[in-house]
Amino acid sequence: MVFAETVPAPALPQRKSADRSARLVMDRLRKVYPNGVVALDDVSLEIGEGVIGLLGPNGAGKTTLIQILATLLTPTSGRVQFDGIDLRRRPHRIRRLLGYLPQTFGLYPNLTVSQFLHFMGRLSGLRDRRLRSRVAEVSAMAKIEHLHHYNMRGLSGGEHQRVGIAQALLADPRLLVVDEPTSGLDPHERLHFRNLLFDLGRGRVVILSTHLVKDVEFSCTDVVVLHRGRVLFRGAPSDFVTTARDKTWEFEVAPGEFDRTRERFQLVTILEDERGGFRARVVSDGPPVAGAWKVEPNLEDAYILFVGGEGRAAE
Amino acid sequence: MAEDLKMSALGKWARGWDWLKRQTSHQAALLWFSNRLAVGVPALVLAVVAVGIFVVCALGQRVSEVAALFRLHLTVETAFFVILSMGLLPREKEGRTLEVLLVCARSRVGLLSQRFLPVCLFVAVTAIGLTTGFYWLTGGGFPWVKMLCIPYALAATAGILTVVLTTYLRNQYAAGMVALLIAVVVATLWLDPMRSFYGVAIERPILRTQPHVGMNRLVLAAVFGFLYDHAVRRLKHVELWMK
Repeated sequence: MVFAETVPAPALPQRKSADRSARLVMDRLRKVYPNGVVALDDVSLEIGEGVIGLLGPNGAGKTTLIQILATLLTPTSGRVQFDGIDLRRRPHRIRRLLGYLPQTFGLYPNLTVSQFLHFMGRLSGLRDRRLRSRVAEVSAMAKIEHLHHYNMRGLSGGEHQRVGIAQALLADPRLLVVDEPTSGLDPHERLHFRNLLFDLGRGRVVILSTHLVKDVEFSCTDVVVLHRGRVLFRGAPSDFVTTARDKTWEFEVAPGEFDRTRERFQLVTILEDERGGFRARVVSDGPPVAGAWKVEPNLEDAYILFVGGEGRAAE
Repeated sequence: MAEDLKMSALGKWARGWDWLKRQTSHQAALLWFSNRLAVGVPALVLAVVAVGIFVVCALGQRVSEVAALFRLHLTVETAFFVILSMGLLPREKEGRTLEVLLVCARSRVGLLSQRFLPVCLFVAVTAIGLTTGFYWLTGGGFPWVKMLCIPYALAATAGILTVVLTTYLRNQYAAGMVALLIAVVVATLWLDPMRSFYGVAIERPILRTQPHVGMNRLVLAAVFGFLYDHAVRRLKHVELWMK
């Protein structure tokens, strides 16, 4: 577990033909846009199999990092390797191992779900029997078998996302990158997605970019917190929570004091208690006010501790 | 031994034939999908327009002058290419399908070529129809192959130019208009395709030496090659135009 600084860059491993465990290595990755905005600043990470949650507020650099991994953007400097394949030199080889679900994802309105999956499968190089069996497999995984003959125009938000994840899985990718997959979904759909992502983490690297802490809590084996282009934390969710131990406090607050509390402290949330009163939950090195009591931290508390007021995520 | 060799040769042929069948089936399936996505209702409208143009020309007896026929072919085919090409990339961007397409295992230039192929096929069918119709009406009064190929090649160049312009301009209609404008300027002021059609060298090129048919066509090929190379480079660097 690392606290508030980037992980030191390890020596990049040589590719071993018999090595089946996928590893994604980023070494001093930097991305500066033409307008001067530094989206990523010296990001170094080494990621193994499992579901890795990429957490951070809007503008943290998550989508930039995701798009670099998806070979849609070129880093300004630094290296990315997956299974020993350099992403800058051989992006086409990375794409053969890659599955991607972008944040905003459209579907062809004049194709049915089955036609769309067959089309995307063919573009991924699948044919004939292999194509048919993969379409059947991913449809079962994403639970969209009953939608095959539906025109994509008529799909709900949750069905839309499930078709999206199905197309990302068609080529049986070893690196799966999903960007905010649960945004806009109802709680039931969100739960299904989280369970699906957890299952998908076996045998592959899954990068889940999200600003929703609950997604990370339920699905991820590892957490990376990005803020203003830098890695602030990398480790297990339990270790992430531990960083907020002895720093999470609650105290009673009057309704008229909400705004002042928000301004003075790193506020996590305001809760209504059983007696009809309100209590504020904040993160602070020491007691924020007289009479505040310590409470057991959760992921959200740790998140606010790292990213401050900008990271107040809504569910 | 001879029998073994014969079986081995037969086996190779059978495998080759099987591969060809699978490959054809695969490419045909991709073409079918691309056709549905790239050439839809606008193509039907354009087909009706092409038939209408033919009927008007036939009824108005405006088919005797070959130069006029050539200009008509060039105009119609260029317009069709521009209209159908200007939406290829913007439609994907607006439909938010561009990112997943660019991430698939197929090469990006191959992907876009695959999108462009149905447009080429549609305009080719239109061109063949028009050329054959006018050839029949004029009783074979012009070289059929030249009338088909030269305007088509120029129009296809305008189509590629349109696709490249859509990566510079956010609006597909703006890209289409700019492409048409460039095509008109080039056609009337520089290359003078009327003369190259007849094999007569143009008199106003950048060269001050004696006009030469071969040089005329070389210039045309060079322009096409440059445009194609630029298009490939631009389309490969999606970061430049994806946003």
